Amino acid sequence: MNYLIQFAGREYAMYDTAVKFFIYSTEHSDYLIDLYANGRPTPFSPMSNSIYLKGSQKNAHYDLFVDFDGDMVMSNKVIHITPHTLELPENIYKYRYWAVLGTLYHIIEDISSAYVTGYLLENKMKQELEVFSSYSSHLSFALRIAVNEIFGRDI
Amino acid sequence: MDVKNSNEIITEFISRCNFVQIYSDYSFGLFGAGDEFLGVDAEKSLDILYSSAIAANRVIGFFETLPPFIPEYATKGGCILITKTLPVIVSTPVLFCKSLDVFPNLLATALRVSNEISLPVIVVVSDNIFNNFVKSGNNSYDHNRISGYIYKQSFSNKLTIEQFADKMVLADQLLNELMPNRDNYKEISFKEPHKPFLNYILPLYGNDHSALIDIEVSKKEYDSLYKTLSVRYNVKVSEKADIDSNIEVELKEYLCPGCPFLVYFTMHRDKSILYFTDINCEGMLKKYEINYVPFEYFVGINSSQLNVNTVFIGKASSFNASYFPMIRSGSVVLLNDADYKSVNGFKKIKNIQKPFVENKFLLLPYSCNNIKSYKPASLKYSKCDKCADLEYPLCITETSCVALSYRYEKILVNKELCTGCKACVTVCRKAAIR
Repeated sequence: MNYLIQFAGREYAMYDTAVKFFIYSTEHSDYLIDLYANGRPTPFSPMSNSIYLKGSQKNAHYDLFVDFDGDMVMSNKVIHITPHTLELPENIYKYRYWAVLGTLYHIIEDISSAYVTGYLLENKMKQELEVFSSYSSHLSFALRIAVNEIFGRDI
Repeated sequence: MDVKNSNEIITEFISRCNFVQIYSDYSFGLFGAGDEFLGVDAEKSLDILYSSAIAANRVIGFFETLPPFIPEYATKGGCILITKTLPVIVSTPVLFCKSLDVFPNLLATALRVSNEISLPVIVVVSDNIFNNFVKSGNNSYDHNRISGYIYKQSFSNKLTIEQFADKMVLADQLLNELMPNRDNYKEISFKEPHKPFLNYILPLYGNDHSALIDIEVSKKEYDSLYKTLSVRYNVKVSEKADIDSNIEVELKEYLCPGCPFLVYFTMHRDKSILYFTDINCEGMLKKYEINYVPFEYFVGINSSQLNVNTVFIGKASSFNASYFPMIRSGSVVLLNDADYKSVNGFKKIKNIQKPFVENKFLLLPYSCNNIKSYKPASLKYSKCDKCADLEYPLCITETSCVALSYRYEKILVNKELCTGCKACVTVCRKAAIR
């Protein structure tokens, strides 16, 4: 399966960590990856990258939108992973990067989340680990419908 | 993890290669390695870097747009000028980089070529270079450290045409060996990642007047590429249609907290006025539809009475008192980018938080590079109706301020980011923000 994943986020340190983990995990799952960056019109514009994961010879790919801070605006029906579509409760909003990342690992089934869980365990980030594990094992209702419709299968 | 981001790669290169003088435009601030020279614009900063390199210092500069530049003297310390915009005048070797994977090696090559030919080397980078990630490897850099020195003749012996031609021959040999251009390019693109692009281009020199080679570019890129490439290539528009993604994504735009333009425009914007600025901020220029020109253009435009009112909002360091008698119409708002105590003839605004009266010549307390912080804004929830008649609250949509967010049906102020500029106070209809 091939994926074109667009990332956007405003918290630089968290964004940097999350994207690095994702790149590292996908490379270790034998995906060929292309990395692209998008321009930032001001120093406070959201960071934005596109990652193309090539796992098969087909020319087709699925589009995924990973929007850590809810900064993407789009009209088409797409898989848009954001705190809003995850229906993230207010009390864990500060862990949204881990929730969104967890969901991404859940949707792309053949990448291992071991690097992330290992890191969170090692650094004794209990809450973050709990959020990440929870969101990497289930999908919100809205996302499940979108994923089923676009992928044509249940996850 | 052996994954690095652009900032880490640039910082590593700068620290390993012992650069003495580093300049970075404000727009590179968060990711660039250096700092803006306070109150010195890009053109003057380029002069400082270049003269420093003539005195055998190793220098590097990051420019959103590189000012036109013709080297007249030989440098001794290695000089790399990195820019996001293709240069209009090709007066020294220009290297192009589209991929972060090859960026460290390309920087090392640029430094080597600059050292060998004793001239600055320009590196033009695509959007892909900054804010990206790459699986890192070990890069070997030139660690040499040299002390500054000049001779009596350093500034009296200008480069002759013959010397310049010799340097270009040497540059061509080196670049052809290290990162050769292909013999035949069909269609090239600087923006699209999967299409090829030239690795370098050299200025014309001596007897080198080889026939122009055909090269095709997309219609979208023709304007930006033509001026740079037409020195050596016969640039044509490709017959193929551009492929656009069928999913359109827009990212919300945010201005810097305390953006002086935001503060000024929330108080004084008048759609009948034509605004000009010499500050090159893509986000601000797009939001407020301002014309980006040097101060001198504004002086020329306003040398007689015009049919419309004009306002120039620009850097105090660009202003020259001798322009005063030449400005016969229009107003000037200077942003104090160099912490001047005062500028003769300008009314100084001490506190940007309080409404100020429009004046022909105003000096605001700060610019983009030295935004001042005041007491952060606070929100009285009992008064806030979240602009119920609108899709989003006005304080969010009108200010595009990164310190304000709207979630879980609440407006939140990030006190760490808020500079207390009070632009949101001005737009709030219910006086709920203080």
